[in-house]
Amino acid sequence: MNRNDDNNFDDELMAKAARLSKPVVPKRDLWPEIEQVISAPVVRERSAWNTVWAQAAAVILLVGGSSGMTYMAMSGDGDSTVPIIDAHTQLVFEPVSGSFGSQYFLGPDYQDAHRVVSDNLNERLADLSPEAREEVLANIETIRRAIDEINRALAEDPGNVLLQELLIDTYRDELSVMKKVDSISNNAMYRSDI
Amino acid sequence: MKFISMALIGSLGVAPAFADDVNEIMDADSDGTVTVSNVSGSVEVQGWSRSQVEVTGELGSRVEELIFERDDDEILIKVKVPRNSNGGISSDLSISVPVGSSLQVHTVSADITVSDVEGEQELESVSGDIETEAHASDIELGSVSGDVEVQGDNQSIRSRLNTVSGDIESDSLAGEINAESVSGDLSAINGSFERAMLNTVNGEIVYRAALLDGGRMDVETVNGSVDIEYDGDVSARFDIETFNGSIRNCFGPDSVRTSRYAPGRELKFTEGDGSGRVTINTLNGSVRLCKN
Amino acid sequence: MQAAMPAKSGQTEANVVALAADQASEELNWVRLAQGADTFAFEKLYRANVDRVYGLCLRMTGNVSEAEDCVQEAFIQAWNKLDKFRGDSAFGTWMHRVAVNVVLGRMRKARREQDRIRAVSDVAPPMETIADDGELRDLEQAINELPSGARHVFVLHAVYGYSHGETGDMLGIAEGTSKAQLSRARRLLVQQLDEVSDEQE
Repeated sequence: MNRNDDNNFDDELMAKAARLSKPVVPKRDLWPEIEQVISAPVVRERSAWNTVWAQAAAVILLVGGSSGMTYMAMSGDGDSTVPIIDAHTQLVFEPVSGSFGSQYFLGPDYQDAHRVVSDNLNERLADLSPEAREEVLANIETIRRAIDEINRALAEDPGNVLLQELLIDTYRDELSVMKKVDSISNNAMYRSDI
Repeated sequence: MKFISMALIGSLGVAPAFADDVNEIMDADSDGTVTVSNVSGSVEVQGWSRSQVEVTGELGSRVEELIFERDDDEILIKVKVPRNSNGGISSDLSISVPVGSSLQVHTVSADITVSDVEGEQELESVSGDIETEAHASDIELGSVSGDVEVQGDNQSIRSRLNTVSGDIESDSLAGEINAESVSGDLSAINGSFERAMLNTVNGEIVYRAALLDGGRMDVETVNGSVDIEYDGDVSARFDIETFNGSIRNCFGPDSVRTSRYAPGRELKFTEGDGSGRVTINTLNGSVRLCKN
Repeated sequence: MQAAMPAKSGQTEANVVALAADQASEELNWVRLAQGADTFAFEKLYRANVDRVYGLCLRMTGNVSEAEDCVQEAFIQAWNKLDKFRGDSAFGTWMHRVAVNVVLGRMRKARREQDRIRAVSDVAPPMETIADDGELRDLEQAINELPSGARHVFVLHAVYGYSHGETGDMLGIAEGTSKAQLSRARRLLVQQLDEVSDEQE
């Protein structure tokens, strides 16, 4: 093709391209699904995960005699001390008035630790991508469900040592996971020394 | 010439004409520390015999600058990006470091690949995958949703491998291993351990390695299955308990019900001279215990 | 309700979509209502703009099912950030920006998942052409086959008439890059269509 033909072809190309900007009617009505999503009750993102962790306090917890609690720095991070529930903590079984039988409670030390860790993590999560945030929340939900399941089993068999150990360890996992996510995100995004 | 029809998925288009190429080198201690920070893209680190650190690669079009500085025995490599950037920050870095260096890498979504680094390694990412070789020194690998893969060379070190949902795979590590995940699967293949701690909430745990005499192994999962096949003989007191899971073992006695009235099975026995200690606890996960 | 005039190269979309004054103020009313969480008002905005958004999604993705998802995600995103719409451009233009964002975001996500699976899919998603005109169909097909960077620039600049500055802004690339991609697109399209017309002769 000679130069002139090239230019004509090119101009034709651009003219045809512009015709492709005509609106196109979708094959099906896409509105109903959109409406479903936007009409769903709005949960502000922050409170969504606050709720998950607020449930931590409400869920049936373990009582640890505070004499048995030991404070240990979380590994690799010397700046904050987070109480770890010592696996050998004496568990106190407290009958609760009413018809629901026994309940296990985690002492105020755990509650404090939980609050500190979840506050830090809240801030980090806000800056993660939606996918990463979703991943973390889904996994914390997984831990919560595991805790519920163990507690339900404990309700039937309160003296079961395996269940008690699993419960303590799963609570510890939850704190540890939150702390780890906080730390990884912090190192990746916020540390000013790197 | 017909151009190739590119699928939408996986097509990266043409490299933007304005991405910056990086090619810098500086002297470094032969056993110093190298710290790398890159938000997205990739980070590749390889050890070499020179006492220098070299960085090559491509920076995203919106990257503010590449920081590459030395402070005595520490080298810092950081991809600096604008605070609320949406696009154009993905950068691919290829870094050569002295083989004896200690290495710290932090990324958000960039994948991390490391080879031939003999010093300590701390590799962390939010969603990037992490792949490394372990040699003479301790390693600590953590990702939230990325996978973690490590190839050891049977030298005794301490390994900490942590994810929230990514899978963890190790081959030929030795010494101590502490691997934890919430929903990722763990597998430790080959190698031999004095201490192994393997913990998941929902992920599967697979162990196909040796446990040294006097060694200690703690396995705990809520819903994951546990599949252990010891490499060679094992000498330990075993204490295995599950609430709802089954226990299948190839050696030693059969498991028994823990109570006549409640669910739960346990298996407690001694194998060999009983010098080691193995505990396995699960809520619903099944346990398989064998040796080859 | 919508301006069905095709864009010409060099004219911005905002100019072309010159809604009549009363149309513009009606649209603003709906926007204001929708900003107050009125889903009926938002539906009006949807009906008035969906065909244009769908057209853009279709051209950028080359694939009907991707384009449908893109439309839905775009309107959902628009609903969530409606307070950011200031009315300094037509709502349709703003929706175009939102849609482009959605296309790019979905591509990034798909790429990440692709890497995870570590499988190379040889199967391209189904390409669809809509034009009734045979020549336009060939062009459509050829555009669908462009590498994504070149395709996005070609669609926004050559099809929809956004300037290189605007195109670069929407895609998160430099203006120079947009020009380079356009040249590439034109070169590849001319080659492709040349062959097709040779085959037909």
